[in-house]
Amino acid sequence: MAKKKTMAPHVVPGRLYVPYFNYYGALGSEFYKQLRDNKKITGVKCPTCKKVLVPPRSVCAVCFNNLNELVEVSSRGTVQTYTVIYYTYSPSNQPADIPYAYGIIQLDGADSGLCHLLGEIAPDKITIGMRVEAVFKDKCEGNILDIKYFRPV
Amino acid sequence: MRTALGKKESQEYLGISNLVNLPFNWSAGPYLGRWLIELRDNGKLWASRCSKCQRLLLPPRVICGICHVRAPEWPNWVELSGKGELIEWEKVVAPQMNPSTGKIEQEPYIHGNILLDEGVTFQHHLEEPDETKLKEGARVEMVLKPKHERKGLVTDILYFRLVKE
Repeated sequence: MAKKKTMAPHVVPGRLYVPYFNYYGALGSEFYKQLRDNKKITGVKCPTCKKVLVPPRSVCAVCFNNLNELVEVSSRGTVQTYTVIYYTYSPSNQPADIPYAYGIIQLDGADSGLCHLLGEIAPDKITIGMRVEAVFKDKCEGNILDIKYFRPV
Repeated sequence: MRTALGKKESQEYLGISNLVNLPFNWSAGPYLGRWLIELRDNGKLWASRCSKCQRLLLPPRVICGICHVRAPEWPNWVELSGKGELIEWEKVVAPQMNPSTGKIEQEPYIHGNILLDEGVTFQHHLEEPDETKLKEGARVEMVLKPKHERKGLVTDILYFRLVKE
């Protein structure tokens, strides 16, 4: 049988380019407004279980209540857990140069953890239960990076 | 809604701008790839033919969608004249986003469905400044880009236009 003729693959260039705008929603807007204008971190309090959720969400996952009572929480808290990133996977979408650390921080007055960067500390010095405080940007723009990172108290 | 201080204010909605920007290359495969290469290098329009039901497949497909049998490979294809009749057309006036540039394209264009003389339909842009000349059954012909501008894409076909009498 004759050898089958093959052709080089014809490669077609493509690109998906989609600029978009994502609304934070009613409670999320209030959260970022307080962050931007007053440098305050807010949570939402469930009227049934009395838990304070940070960042605020509109429904309590335990009681299924609609939530709308915003309360201020402290900008200091405790590291519940953390992870260190040593790998660059998408430079434009990563908030810092490697190695950097994410922590889940339970703020004083809140009952849930807030995920954010841990800064001003070597990654191998971070411990669970460490006390940290938020460092705010000088010029806030209404996004989560208005908090630059959390640093040890 | 109550704010952190318990008083009512008019709601300001905030959000964040973001961008999806994904370049990618895809291989057109032996059938569509050969079709695009022929369009680019020789300016020829081909269609594959189902070996069972004998209908033409344009752009050429590996498998006939009705008979589920394999169509022969190039060059056992049918060369098309690029001429045919206009079946129907529509003027698209709604602005649409070009997914490869993210830009909203405001310019209206005419999209036509053409029955080629070999008996297969093909859809492409129609170029005709005077819309009143467009009639069902009007003779149209394919116009390609000049050879040095062709890139092996379906946009190498510029448009179809009415055949001048």
